[in-house]
Amino acid sequence: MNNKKKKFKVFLLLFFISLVFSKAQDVKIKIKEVLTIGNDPKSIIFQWVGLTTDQENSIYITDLKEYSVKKYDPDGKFIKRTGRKGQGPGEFLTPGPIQFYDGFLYIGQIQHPGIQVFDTELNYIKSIPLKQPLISFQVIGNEQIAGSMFMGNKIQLYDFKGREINAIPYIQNDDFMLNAVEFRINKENLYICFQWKDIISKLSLTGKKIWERNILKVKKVKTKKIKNFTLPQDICFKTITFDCDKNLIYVLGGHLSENASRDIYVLTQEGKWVDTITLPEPTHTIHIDSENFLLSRSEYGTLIKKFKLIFNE
Amino acid sequence: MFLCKGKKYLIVILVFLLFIGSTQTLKAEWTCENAFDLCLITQWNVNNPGEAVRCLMGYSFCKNYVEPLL
Repeated sequence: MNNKKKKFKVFLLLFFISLVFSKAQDVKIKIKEVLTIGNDPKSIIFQWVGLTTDQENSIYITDLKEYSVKKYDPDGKFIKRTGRKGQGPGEFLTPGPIQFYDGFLYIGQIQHPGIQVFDTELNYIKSIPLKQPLISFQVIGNEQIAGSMFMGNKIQLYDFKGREINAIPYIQNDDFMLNAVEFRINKENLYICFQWKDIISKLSLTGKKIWERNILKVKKVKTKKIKNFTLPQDICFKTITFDCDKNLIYVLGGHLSENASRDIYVLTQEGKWVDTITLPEPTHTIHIDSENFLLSRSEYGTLIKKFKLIFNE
Repeated sequence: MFLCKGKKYLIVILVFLLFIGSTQTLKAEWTCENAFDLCLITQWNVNNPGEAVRCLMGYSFCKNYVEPLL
């Protein structure tokens, strides 16, 4: 009799656990457009590449064609710009990735090494010299910067003087440019999506793989030989980021998605797919601010679209 | 007389075909692959792959940022 009661209690417990678990997977996400930035002469954008937001959700972009950095308030009102073409302090040749961290902006360049630091009033503070350009980077505290390289198989950690201090290997082979990744470090883990491979994975900060997902069901991207180089043709994934309270993972697909450069795959921390969001226009990157507004590209990079993420549970 | 007329027609057709051909070439020219090829020719020493890294990075940038918008 006691055994039966115990079994019944275990059954009830499992039932409730499964209910909670299934609810977590039933999250559906919609987007609602709330704002367009850059469509008046004062706030003109020539071609934005990098985008970040600060703790007040002011928006900062790098403008590749104007060699500049621009600041907008959360409602899209233009505040300030800085920068010009050049290689000196506060100057850019190919301004690209940008990140806000602890009161400062960190700005990299697409084909040139080094990171420049600005305050939120867009005053130049200092430069961090690096030996090679980074695909993407993230300031991770303790005056450390993590960066992914164009050719390599590890996330390199640098101090603020640009010295290599550690590395997180994410794959064993050395596969020319096919191992290029976008990444985010969140708490104790590293999350990566490969540009040229159908792989999204979560690893420990020592490089131990926790899970790996193949969302696109693509075995190998097509390649084309140009002179001595075999170049991959289609991008699998473009960027990876998180929202602010659900702790979900958002991965922007590239050419091989059903809706090229518009599909965002949403995964749980356990790597389970929960939904796919489709943007109205192709974008090269996405960013989610601290109020769960998603920002993406519009009109050939001359506009920024701001969407509210709506969760239906 | 007939030959002269024929020649004229032939020239017009040839010019037309050349025009079509040139526009088709122009249409096909701007791809990330061709931009990469051009980068190697104009800027970097093909025999030194190390020097081609910037062209490769440009190719990657082109695929990421530019091509989906063409």
